[in-house]
Amino acid sequence: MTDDQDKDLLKRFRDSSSRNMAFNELVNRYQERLYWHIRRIVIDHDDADDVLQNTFIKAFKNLDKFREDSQLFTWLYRIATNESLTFLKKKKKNVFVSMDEVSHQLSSTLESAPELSGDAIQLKLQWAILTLPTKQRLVFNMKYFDEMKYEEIAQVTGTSVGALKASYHHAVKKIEAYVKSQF
Amino acid sequence: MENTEKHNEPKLNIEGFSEADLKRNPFKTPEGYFENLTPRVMDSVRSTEKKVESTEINWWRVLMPGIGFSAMVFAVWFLSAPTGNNTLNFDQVVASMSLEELDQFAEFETEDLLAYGLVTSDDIEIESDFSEEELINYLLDEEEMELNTIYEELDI
Repeated sequence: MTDDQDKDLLKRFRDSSSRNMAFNELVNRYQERLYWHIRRIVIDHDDADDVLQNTFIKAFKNLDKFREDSQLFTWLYRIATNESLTFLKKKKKNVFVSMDEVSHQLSSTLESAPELSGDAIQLKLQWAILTLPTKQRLVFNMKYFDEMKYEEIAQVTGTSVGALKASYHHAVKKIEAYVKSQF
Repeated sequence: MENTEKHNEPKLNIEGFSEADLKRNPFKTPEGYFENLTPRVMDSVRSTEKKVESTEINWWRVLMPGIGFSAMVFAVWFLSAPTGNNTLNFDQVVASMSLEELDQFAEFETEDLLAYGLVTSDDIEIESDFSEEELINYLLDEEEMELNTIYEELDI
């Protein structure tokens, strides 16, 4: 979405007569990207759905105050990230426990296909990503899967570009080492 | 600049698998999830808005449950109040209350009494150690602080 499209959407949102329609459009545009970002953090679909709903509610309540010093999408991403992390803290759950779904799929797939298929390696990769510390996992997901620029990730996380580069570099090495050790 | 950044980025290498393989999404969603998501989100947003509207205090709902005497107070007021006059007659209400009810009434803080409409400000004498001038200056300072906070929030 271009800056002009963002600006137009914000203008329509700030007009009470077109507010709901503008927000409807915002949800339509960003729901999938935000969902997958959240899902990769919380893993479980129902949890991701809850967090996504909360993200959009929060966005609706605060969009009037959005200062436009970042892109609308990075602002939404930031809310989604904070909501996801808050959710994990509230659940006070070791993230490995929520890997039930992944580990179940992984073991089922491996049992049915002795040679690793594309699906199995993806699950193994997800498992490897979950071994990373939470914030490093966030950085890896945003860089690798969402293909965001470091500057955009910096706006989401509030971390410097240099630190993000180091974190991502480290994450890649750890994941490679982990996956290699599993074969 | 962007090409240089991409060139220097570490690449995830897992032998035998392409980047496309590795990036394929292993997670599934229920069928039709995204098609139904926008209306569901808008419903959630609307119901949140309604919750905010409904937090305005309904004096009847606040007073009636659990505080037995409040129902009595309003019943007495309704029966004894002059026709066409909606003002709560404090003295009449208090005079009609039992000792137990008065004890409960007395536990209310002044601001609660005002907030619940049990009294008006004319009924309450405020004792103060401060002169009127001191009070006015204090209120002006408070107002200025509040304005400064608002200015900060609006980034003015």
